[in-house]
Amino acid sequence: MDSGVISRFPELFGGAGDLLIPRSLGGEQYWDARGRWVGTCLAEFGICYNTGVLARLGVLRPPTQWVDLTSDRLFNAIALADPTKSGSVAKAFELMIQQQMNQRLDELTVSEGQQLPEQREKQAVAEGWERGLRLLIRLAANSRYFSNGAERVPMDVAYGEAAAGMCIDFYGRFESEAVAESDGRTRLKYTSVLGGTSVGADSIALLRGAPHPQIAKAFIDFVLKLEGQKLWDFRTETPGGPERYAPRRLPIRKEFYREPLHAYMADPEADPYHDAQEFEYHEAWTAPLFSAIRFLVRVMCIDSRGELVSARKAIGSAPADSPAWQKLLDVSRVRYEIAVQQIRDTLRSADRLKEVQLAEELTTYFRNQYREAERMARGEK
Amino acid sequence: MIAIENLSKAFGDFLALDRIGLTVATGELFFLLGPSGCGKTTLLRHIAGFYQPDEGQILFDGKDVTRLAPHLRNTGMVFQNYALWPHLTVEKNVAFGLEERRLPRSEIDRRVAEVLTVVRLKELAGRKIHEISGGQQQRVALARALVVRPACLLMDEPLSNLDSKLRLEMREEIRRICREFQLTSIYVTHDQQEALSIGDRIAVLNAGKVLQVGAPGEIYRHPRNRFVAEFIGEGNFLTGQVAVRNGLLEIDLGRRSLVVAASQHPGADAGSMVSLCLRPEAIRIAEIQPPGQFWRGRLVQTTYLGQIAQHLFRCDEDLLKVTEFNPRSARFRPGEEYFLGIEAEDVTIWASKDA
Amino acid sequence: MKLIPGSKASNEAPSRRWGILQRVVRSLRRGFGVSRITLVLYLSVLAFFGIFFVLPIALAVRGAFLDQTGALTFDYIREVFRNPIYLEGFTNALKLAAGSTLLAFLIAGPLAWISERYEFPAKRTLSAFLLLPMMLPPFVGAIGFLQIFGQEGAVNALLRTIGWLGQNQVIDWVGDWREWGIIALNALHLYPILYLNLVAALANVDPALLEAAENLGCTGMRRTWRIVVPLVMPGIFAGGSIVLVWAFTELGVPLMFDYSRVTSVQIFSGLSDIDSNPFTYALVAVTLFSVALIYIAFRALVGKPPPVMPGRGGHAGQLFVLSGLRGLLCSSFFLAICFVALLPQFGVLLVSFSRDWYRTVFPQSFTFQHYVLALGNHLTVPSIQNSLVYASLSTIVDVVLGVTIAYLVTRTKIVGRSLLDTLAMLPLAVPGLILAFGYLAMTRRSSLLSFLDPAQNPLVLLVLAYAVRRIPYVVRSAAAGFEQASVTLEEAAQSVGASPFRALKRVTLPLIMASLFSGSILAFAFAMLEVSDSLILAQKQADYPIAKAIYQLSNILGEGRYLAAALGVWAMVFLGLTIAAASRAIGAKLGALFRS
Repeated sequence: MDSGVISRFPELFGGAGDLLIPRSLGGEQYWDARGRWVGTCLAEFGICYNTGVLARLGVLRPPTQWVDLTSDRLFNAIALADPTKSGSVAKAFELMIQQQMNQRLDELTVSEGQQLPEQREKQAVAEGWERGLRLLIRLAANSRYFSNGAERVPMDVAYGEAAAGMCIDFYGRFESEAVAESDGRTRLKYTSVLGGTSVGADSIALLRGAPHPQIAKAFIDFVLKLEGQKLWDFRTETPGGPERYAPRRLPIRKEFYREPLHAYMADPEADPYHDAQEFEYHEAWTAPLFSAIRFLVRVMCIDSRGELVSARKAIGSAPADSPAWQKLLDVSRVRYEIAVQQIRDTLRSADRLKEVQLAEELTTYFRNQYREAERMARGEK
Repeated sequence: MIAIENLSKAFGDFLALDRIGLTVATGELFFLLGPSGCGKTTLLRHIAGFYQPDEGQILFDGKDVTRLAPHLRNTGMVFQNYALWPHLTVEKNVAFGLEERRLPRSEIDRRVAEVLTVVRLKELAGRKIHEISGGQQQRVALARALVVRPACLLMDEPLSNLDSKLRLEMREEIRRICREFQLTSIYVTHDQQEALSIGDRIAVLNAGKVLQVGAPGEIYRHPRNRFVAEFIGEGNFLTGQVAVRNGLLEIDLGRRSLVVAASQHPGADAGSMVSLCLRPEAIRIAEIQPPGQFWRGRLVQTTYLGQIAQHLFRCDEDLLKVTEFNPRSARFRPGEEYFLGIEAEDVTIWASKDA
Repeated sequence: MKLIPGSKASNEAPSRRWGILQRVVRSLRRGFGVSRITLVLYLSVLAFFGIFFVLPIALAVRGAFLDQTGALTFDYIREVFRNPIYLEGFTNALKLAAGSTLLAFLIAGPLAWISERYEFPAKRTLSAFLLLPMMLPPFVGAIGFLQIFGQEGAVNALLRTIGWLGQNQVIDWVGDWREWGIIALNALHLYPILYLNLVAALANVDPALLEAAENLGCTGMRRTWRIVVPLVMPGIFAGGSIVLVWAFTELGVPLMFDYSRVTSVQIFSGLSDIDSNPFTYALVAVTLFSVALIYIAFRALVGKPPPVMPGRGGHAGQLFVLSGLRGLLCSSFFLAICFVALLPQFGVLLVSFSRDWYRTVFPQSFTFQHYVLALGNHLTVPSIQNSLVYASLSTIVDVVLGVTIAYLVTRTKIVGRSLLDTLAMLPLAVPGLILAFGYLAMTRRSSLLSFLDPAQNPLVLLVLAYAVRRIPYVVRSAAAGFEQASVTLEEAAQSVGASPFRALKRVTLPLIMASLFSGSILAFAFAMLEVSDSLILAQKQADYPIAKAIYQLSNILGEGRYLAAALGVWAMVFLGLTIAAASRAIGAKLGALFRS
């Protein structure tokens, strides 16, 4: 319900001023116009990597984009989380696909100017979808596993089990500090993926029927005031900062990304408002397919991971236009229209038998496809 | 007084007790005697209350206890394996029953000391069970049953685990104690010596039935059938036909005969077939013709046993066992013929169907 | 049996159901012949097993056969057998189980053989150590395991130090040897069960039998093969079937290896949507049937144990005393097995004291800080409390039920006591995963027992789950006690005036105490670190027992793994002490508890 927070913080949610928090940015909502919820900190998905392991594997340039994780050298070294176990992980996979759609739209806009904008968007979505799925396959082909919890990824990267992985920003930053040497050097690094992720707000709200609304409101206010916001990411032993650990979450107030407060931040290089402008989230493109994306990651990547990984190993550093690669990345069976119709409808129906049968059919399909690709790769050699 | 009326018990298809009827008088040392499997222990466990009969009643002093739980019957039982509690000392084992009766400590101590004196175990009061000998364990078991002053002392083959010398000693001990305490006791055994030596009365059981009840002498001298006769001591069993002459019965044994007084054997009618039993020790061997009745027999074999010798004689077609007391070596020679003297009153006669 | 009336009444009986009822009543009356209390106890125990053992399993199986409308269907089961993913999980489970069992044999066989044949330095202590891996679930060692076998872990660091690996080389133990790792960990966890069974079986082989064979000219391997093997076969199969089923349904180890293509993990993943997903039920049903099949198959293979297994003759088998080098060789073999089996646990110990441990054989710097922090953590202290409460209560339930069952089975002639005996041993055979799943199914919203919903308060269910799973140990130890304490001891007490209850209390209970105590300690120890029930049934943080707290902590960034390690060490020390006490109390009899 409306906690009245909008009116109490006009400098944040009011009309004008450079402290104003946008209602939405890059397609993500930051606060509710009716004051039912407001964002308190910002989060994005990125890549965490282990500098030592990368060096060992001969990767000289740290990854900055999802596609960097598909390099031959990173085979069996990528930690991914299971999107069927966590909504935010599924969101990250959705964003990867949207990035491809955005890129395709940019390309089309530059090259084929005579198309109608709607047609162009439709084409970009359909083709971006396929590119996105291919990216997922290539990522999964390098994967070590799909972990149950998103926390496993930065931990395993930190301890050298994987070279890099997908990771929520504050997980990566927090673990990075946890494994740092006494001089501050750390083997675990986090980087945001410019243009590859939206920046979402983690919000706070007053529940209807809360037993102590006054206290709740006071707490909401505290979280939004500077003293509360400082706790999110000020270094320890800074004025107003946290005592033992910085949670390494990025406060939503813009003051923190400028001087003088910027200097006290545990993550001075982070600038979510800048990152957010690099990406536009289009809800209409993929949100209805949220379950379908999870489903597809499962059948294409998780349940057929064994075949996929073994095919990828066989392909090795073959050129991208080799038949084996083409075969491996063939996603015609799960084109955008099919996803929208067959898969989404099956998932929406309550019949679990049909869902399981579809999963079985697609898993078998992709396993066979990957085996075929492996055969082709071996035949080529 | 303990009365057992028409008691029956079946385990599955096996009839363990078959309409048993018995009375045990107050203060009596009563024996249940029989071969293993005859039902004597089963009967004892019914009296103790560990088994419930299918039919019949058990009365203690006229009170029906048939369905009463064991601990409410005020019996004291001495088990074959003693069933002493290994986690308790001698003293604690004995005191157990008194403690269950919630007697004051001083009373318990006094009575335990008393009974331990009676069974001559006072010095061993503090020992654990595995620290004392078998005979001592037997006396602890007895003391434990005695100390509660049971209405009835039940003993289940109490001496069977002891060596023969100790057995004799303990047998006398038990008789002494039972007399001393004026106990009504029921004693189960398969050893006829025990029963004959210290029993006031004996019930001989077989196959779940009571075959005969009586004082030791009566049972020994007048067994009611061949089973009883054979179970208690040895016998020569012969069959013949009765003829009545001058108020005497003459039993025709083929080429021999035997004359007995009719008054002693009222069931034997003229012309009927009878079995007769002659105890080996009731036959006297003589080199010259003895007075009274006698048969002639040829000595077949002699077994020398020290205080006695067992001879086997052939009389016509029958083989007769004869016991000689204080035997002198080589007095009777195998192959020779001797006279075998028989007293009519030593002969037991049954109608053939009873044998 | 002329005393039981009504046996001819079936002519008049209007229906078969009536006849059955009559038979039941008759049986009950026959039971009554024993005593009213006996009957009440018997029925209560049966009711307990009915509700908390049979019902949950039945519900878990039932869900596999009902479609959305509630009609009977075999589609789900058929789909499980048709679906390559489920089939693959299934065959993988079988492969892992077979591999684990085989490896466990390879470990336990020589150990048992040496232990039965030779005397060597520190044999007693080492034999006790051998049992430790069984008590410490491999899951607790997970953190240590990755620290040791991870790509940047201790083993690779060691290999690098001694020059077998180049500076930029690693061996991906966990990734490349996934299945083998699972098999190894299972085997190293489960070999003590086989070891105990084998030692017991070998101990039962009368040396006179071997001497007789030798006398007839059969010696050496031939004698072993012709005499020893057939005689210890029942022991081998009994232990083998337990290990096989255990490995078949093992959840913690595959989870540690991120190995999802196995039935147990598929069931675990399906728990999140238990209300709408019938396939989890179908998987459970298939698993349960397979377990039953495994047991039946093993039974059929062994046949009945020989009716008279000649007991050990008057003289004990001679133990060859090995001294000097050969003795040390045996000792170090035992020690090596212990060491390898406990390696993950050593890893946990080191982690708990380390600041950071990366690319080195041992941690570079040590600290007590994690133990201090653990004391203030919102998960650790309550979880220890919770586990203590759950384990103590479940042990109490076990003791009460166990003594009652053992009493009914050994001391009464009540009809169906062999059923009770079997029922009490069955929890050994039913995987914890399936029982826990059944409990969830049983307490779903809208069900009759929904007031026990573990999401509200798992206390009752966890206590009962722990209790049911461990009841065989207590029943077995209590029954052993009852059998040693002869009935006549109780009768003697009754004959001098103690009521049956008092006789039980004053005579039998003190006598079975030692045996009962060790069984209870074992039940308690297992409950303290119980994994599958805890993971599935404890759903709120405040209710977490130790195992789930460790699992949860190990997934917390930063210091989580160290706190988890510290908690794990605390639990292991605690368990070690309890088990040491128990094995001192029970001695060699420990093995008897693990024979099926």
